[in-house]
Amino acid sequence: MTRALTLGIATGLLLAFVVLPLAVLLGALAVDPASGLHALLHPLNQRAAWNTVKLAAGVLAFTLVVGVPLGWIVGRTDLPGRPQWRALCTVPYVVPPYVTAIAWITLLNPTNGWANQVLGAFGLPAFDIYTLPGMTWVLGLALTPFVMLATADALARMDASLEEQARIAGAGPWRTLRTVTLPMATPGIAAGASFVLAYASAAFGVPYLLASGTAQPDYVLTTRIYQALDLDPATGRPVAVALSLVLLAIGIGLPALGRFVQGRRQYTTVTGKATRAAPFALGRARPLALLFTAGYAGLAVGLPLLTIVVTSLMRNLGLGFTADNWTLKNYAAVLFERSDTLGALWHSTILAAGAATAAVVLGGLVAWMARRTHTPGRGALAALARLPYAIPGTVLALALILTFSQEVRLILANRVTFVLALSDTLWMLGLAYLVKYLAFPVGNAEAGLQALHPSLEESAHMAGAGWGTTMRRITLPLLAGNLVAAWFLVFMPAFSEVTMSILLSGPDTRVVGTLLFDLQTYGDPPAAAVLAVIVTALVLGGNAALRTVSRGKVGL
Amino acid sequence: MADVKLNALHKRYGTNHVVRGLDLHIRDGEVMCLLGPSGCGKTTTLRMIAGLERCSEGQVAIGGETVSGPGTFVPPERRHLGMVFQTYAVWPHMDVLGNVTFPLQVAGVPPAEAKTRARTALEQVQLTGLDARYPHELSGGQQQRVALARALVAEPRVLLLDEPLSNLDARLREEMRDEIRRLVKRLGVTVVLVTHDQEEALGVSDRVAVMDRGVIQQVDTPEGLYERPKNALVARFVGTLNELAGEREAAGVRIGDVVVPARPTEEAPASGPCRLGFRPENVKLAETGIAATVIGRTYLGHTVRYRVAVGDEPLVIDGPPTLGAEAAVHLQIRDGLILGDGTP
Repeated sequence: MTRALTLGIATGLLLAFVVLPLAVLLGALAVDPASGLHALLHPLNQRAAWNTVKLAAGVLAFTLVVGVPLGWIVGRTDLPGRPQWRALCTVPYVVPPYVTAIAWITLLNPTNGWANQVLGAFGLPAFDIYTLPGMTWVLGLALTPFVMLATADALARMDASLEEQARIAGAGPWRTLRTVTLPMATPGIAAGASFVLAYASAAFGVPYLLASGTAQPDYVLTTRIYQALDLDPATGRPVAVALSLVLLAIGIGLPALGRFVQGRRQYTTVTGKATRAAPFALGRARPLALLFTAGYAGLAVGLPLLTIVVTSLMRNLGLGFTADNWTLKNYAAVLFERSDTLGALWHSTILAAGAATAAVVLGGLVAWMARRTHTPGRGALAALARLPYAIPGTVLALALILTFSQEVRLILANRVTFVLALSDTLWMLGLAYLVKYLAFPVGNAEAGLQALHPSLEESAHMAGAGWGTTMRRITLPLLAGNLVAAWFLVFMPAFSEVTMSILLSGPDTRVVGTLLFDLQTYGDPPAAAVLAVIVTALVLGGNAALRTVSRGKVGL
Repeated sequence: MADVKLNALHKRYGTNHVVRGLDLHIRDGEVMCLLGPSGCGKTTTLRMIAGLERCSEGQVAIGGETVSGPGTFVPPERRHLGMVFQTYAVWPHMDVLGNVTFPLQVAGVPPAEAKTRARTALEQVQLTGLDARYPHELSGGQQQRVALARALVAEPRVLLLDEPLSNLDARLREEMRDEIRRLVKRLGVTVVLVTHDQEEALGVSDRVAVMDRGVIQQVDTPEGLYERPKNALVARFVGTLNELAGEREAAGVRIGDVVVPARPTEEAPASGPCRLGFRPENVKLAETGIAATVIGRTYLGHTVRYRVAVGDEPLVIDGPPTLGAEAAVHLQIRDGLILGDGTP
């Protein structure tokens, strides 16, 4: 009875908070196709769609050119300090890209960017960060670890005898790399690449910040949707709905195109005793590899984080590097004095913790249902729980607005009434985080359950334990590691989330991400930098905790 | 074609001494098998011949040319060898023809000629008409044929086989074993084969080197190993061996009041306690002889295999299907081996 009730409630929540909003979003277009079509034909919107494709393609090219060699260098060569370089180059994986974006604004804004001043001193033209190439640069640096890690993992999984065979057949080390090693790693790299495409086309924070400093910004779909809703919610909605569907199509279509090109080749090999591959001897190429790796680490991690820290310690950015411009008062203000920053930090903390806890409970139940019961539709339910992660945050937030901006009344048998009034409340934000990141606990719990033989639970039943007792005493303790890891995986991005928050939060429900954007765009960059330092410290610290909890399996 | 000479070969991984002073001459055109339990250093030795591992000490010479030795190391791609891995290592991103032409492409053979030669190699391993298939579309046996064709296509000086049959099912294994033997003999290529399976070793090879803990125990023809093992270790590893404790006599070993005729092995003591070793087929049931009791029975079709006990020492013998449990029998043993007294 407990079992049926618990699982029933889990299913109901999933249907209400995932299926219903997406149905409402699709329905909204069907109700008013004329204004949707009108929106699609507007030149500004067409340019935004085209910019999204250009941005995604540019970022993909950047991450492939940088990430594949980097993955090989940190994954398979005899580079000195290889594990340390790998960890360092993975940092952008966890730091939100908007953190590096504000650093690059400080460095490369066309009026007084620090790096631009250096370029100017050498007589070189300034680089304008407030452009599509600027967005490509920042997102490319931020997303390179996805391709790097995909490449390194694909190389690590590869049976060394495939390469040894090429050596025996007469190919030298470099030829083996070109003809066997890299082609073999292609499917893994392609998986990383399709993630980059999806991420870059859905990116909001970086394009938004890099549109904020210029009168004629390059809009992409996400920022256009935000702008439409922000200017006039009533007339903006049909436009936003139409554009979200285009965004959805691009986010799903581009990666699918990649899989189609990939074709019918499958990369499974006979298993046997797979030998560990010896590291590739770089020889004379070693300084070049070191320079490449250090160059990436410097531009993607060292320089931006240094810039953020330096900015957070300045009274006034305009005064530059003078002795009396250094101060700690920004930290004191943000952490102890200002009500807006304290409120936002508090909101983000409770929202991220609440969403993480709820997601672990709900995701765990969905995964258990998928793996341990014969309920019809259990697989579809688990797939549904993973779906929102693949949906651009902007689209998801819009769907939630459309569904829950009015009161929703559920009347059962004319007596019991549930009233759901979420608009402009913290609940709305918590719900968005829960739905978006539910994929992590579902995935982690499913992986855990797959590794756990059902007989462990069955013997508890044989010993007389009911479903609740078995879950509490057997299943949960065995899955604890996976679930705790999942909790952190939800908490960290939820704490720094901005894409959905900016659409869903009101004046009384600001969170760290939205406040940081406000401070950055409306004149208090040092305070924004303090928040960025806090966010960075938190995700890096959380990641270290995650590593400890999962014994190195999850995390950097 | 070429011979392979291993001279005082050593391999250490840190403090782990895997190969300890190996001397072996594999003659031109010979099929040599390295046989031994897992961890005996046989695969490491093969990989040192291939150039996939560097030797810690000693030399490897192929066709008179030193390819590994003090100050010399020829990388694998310049040794002109062919190799079939246990996992086959057929490249999954290339089709069958792509896999087999690869060694020729690398050697700079013109594409048209490479294709013709690859097709010939595929014909030799009886794999025709599957040129455009990808490895995942092939069975395990077919993948192995691709690996074999690829190893042979560039006419290597030596063919190296690492447990080539261990991933095949029993029926296919026997078929491939005969086929590999026929093929390499027809081509006259020198072969070094590594296996832990004695049937595979005896069935394919001209000579077998039995290895244990990094040392070669004996190198001989299959018949020689089976009939004239140098010590108990070789005798136990090749075929089934029965053993009984006894006393060394001039003509053999005394078990109770019976003297069994036996030949001394290298470890046989001049006198005193020793062990008698013998094969199941060299035991006959008779009216007189060593007294024994039947303790178990396995019906094998062509014969019945009994477990019998002499005192508290268990033996395996073949006999007529009529013996019951606990039956008292007498054993007549011939062609015994005199082994050490069991203290290693």
